[in-house]
Amino acid sequence: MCGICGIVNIDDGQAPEVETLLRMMGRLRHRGPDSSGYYRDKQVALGHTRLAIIDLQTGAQPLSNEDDSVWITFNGEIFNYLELASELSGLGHIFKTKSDTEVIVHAYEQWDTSCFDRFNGQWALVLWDLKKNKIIFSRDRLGIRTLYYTICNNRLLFASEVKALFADSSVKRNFDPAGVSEIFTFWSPVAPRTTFKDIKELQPGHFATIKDGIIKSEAYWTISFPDAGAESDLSEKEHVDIFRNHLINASKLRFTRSDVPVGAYLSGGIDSSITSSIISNYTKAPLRTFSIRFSDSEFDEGQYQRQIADRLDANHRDIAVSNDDIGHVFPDVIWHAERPILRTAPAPLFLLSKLVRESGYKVVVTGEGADEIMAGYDIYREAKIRLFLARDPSSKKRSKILSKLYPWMERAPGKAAAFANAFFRKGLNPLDPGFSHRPRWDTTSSLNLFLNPDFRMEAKKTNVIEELFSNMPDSYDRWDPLCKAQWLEMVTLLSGYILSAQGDRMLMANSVEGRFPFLDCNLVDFASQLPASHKLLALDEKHLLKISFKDMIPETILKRPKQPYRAPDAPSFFSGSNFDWINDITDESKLKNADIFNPKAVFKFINKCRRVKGHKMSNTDNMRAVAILSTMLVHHHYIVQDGSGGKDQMPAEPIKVIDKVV
Amino acid sequence: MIKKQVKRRIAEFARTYKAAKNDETKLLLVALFVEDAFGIVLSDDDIHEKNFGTHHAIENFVLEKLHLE
Repeated sequence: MCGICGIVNIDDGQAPEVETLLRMMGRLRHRGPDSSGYYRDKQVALGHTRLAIIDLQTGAQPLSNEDDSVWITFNGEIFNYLELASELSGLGHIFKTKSDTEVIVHAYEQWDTSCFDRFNGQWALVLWDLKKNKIIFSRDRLGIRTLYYTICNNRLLFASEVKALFADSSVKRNFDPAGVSEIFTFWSPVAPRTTFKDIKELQPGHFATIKDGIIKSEAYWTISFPDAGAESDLSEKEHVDIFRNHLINASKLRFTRSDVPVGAYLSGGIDSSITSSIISNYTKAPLRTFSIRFSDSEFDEGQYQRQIADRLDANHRDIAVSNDDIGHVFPDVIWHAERPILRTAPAPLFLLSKLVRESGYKVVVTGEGADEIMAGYDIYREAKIRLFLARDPSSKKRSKILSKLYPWMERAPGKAAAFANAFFRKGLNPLDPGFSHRPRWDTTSSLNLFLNPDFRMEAKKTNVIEELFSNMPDSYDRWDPLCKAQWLEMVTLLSGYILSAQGDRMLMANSVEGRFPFLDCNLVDFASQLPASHKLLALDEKHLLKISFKDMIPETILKRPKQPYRAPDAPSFFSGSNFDWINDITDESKLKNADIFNPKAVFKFINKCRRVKGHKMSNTDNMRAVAILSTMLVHHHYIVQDGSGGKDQMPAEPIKVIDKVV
Repeated sequence: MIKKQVKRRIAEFARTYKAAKNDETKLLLVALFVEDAFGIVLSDDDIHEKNFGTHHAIENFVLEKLHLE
């Protein structure tokens, strides 16, 4: 994993400035602390900061093909690079290194942009094809790695993180009200939109070509499902065999394709227990595992983590996170995340990756993606139950099934039946394309009430839900309702929040690469063909995953009720230390100057949080507290200040320089 | 859907869910499964132990509803 950035001249102006490029690279130093490099000619500058994982000796970037006519800067891993290198060698390509980066260059030479279909990996990359005078951006299928760009003064700037674009002081730093509206509806901006005006993100599964100043973006892969009734008709047993094989291969590939040791996250849930067990059972390397513990027992999963670690004889380390710890690191977390967030869950992951790095590891395998591809989230169960209620609204019996929802919640529907019945019966229209997510969107949208009238009016100019609907595939209406819910979840939340704000950013903040076996392209394609009942059987989530690996996982883990990964929200800010940064960003004059929120409403709400010390607040109020504080922190870091976080530095040495201008 | 597929789906369900005798919530889980898997819409009267109390009963009920008995 690394950081990439660069400058492309759109007209025939001056050559890209080295000083600007180095400043951009410096802002990505946390992504690549081992070394750095740049390539520059009169039109294009490519920067790279390296976290050395594969081919430690000769894998420095940027690098090129045999005749230096194609250059690349690349962030990520192509896990099937050995197989591709062998195929390309057979086709006459000559390799100078043993890196996966060089495989991309030759694959592009051989297959042009259809090479991306052949990659099994996680990447954001930029190719500079001098012969065709063309720049190519590409991003992995599900958006594990990120790539942002903007056009400013007839130059296209690109980078792994927005803060590197802001290293050029001529790039304007403003909130995009529609981007904020997406966060205050879906939890995340949806690419190509970002939190910031005129800053775009390449969409997952896309490549873009830039020629003569024109950017053309094209999908090479999209999330898709078969029509309802046309799913794979194999038996459960046959699906188990194929699924097991895919996940074992995906886990082995991600554990073994590395020239540095690979560790594993262990949450105490099924997904990471399975990937860790596969590594332990199918590879010879010693297993090193890492976990988060919480001082607050409501969130702690320590007993399950220890159970799996002991069973696998893993060298296990954990970090105990208190409410105060979250409050302390939150400003740093937001600087790395570069967007408002609605939950504090990324903060403990920031502390966990620090532990990993301090333990001498820079790669971890995690269980992310299982809940998306195998229908593990509560929102799928909720949607199924709401559909069940909608099929016979006058039923006297059906409401009782609501007791099966959210058993882990303090205010679970089972404990407040009348409220749950009223809440989950709202808007029961099965023809609504957003049926599964409507309660979440409605609840989250209440955040907009805190916006000041002007900002709110600007935000309202874009109907983000209708815009999402207009981008649905033509076949969407023919899918099983579960597949529709999966699509919505993957498009709105997976890339922008789970894999980015909570994933890549929190890992790379401490120079750690995450690898995700459940997001292996072969596994994802296979899982999308499964009948809904093999993913969510009645209300048994991740059904096929559980029965596929029941021999590897103890029953106590397999049968424990699903507990989503969560962290304390409002109590992290208001129950312990009096954080100066909260007093600072919620100061009335700061709120007025920011011009985002209604200062009086925020002031009143924050006082309420302080009065109750963040305890016994509703789910929505917890979300409001995190949203307001994180938005004001983004404003502080990126609008008031220049995005450097006070951390501007030079990129790591040694610096590989290929400068055709000097 | 043919009879063999119906039987297979119910057998797969039965491996995970125990019989729904004397348990109203379990009856509702069976109802949820039956509606989902076979596209049958049930009335409150259908959601009854006589139809969903055993796996054999579920099979008979579904086959009858789909006119595959």
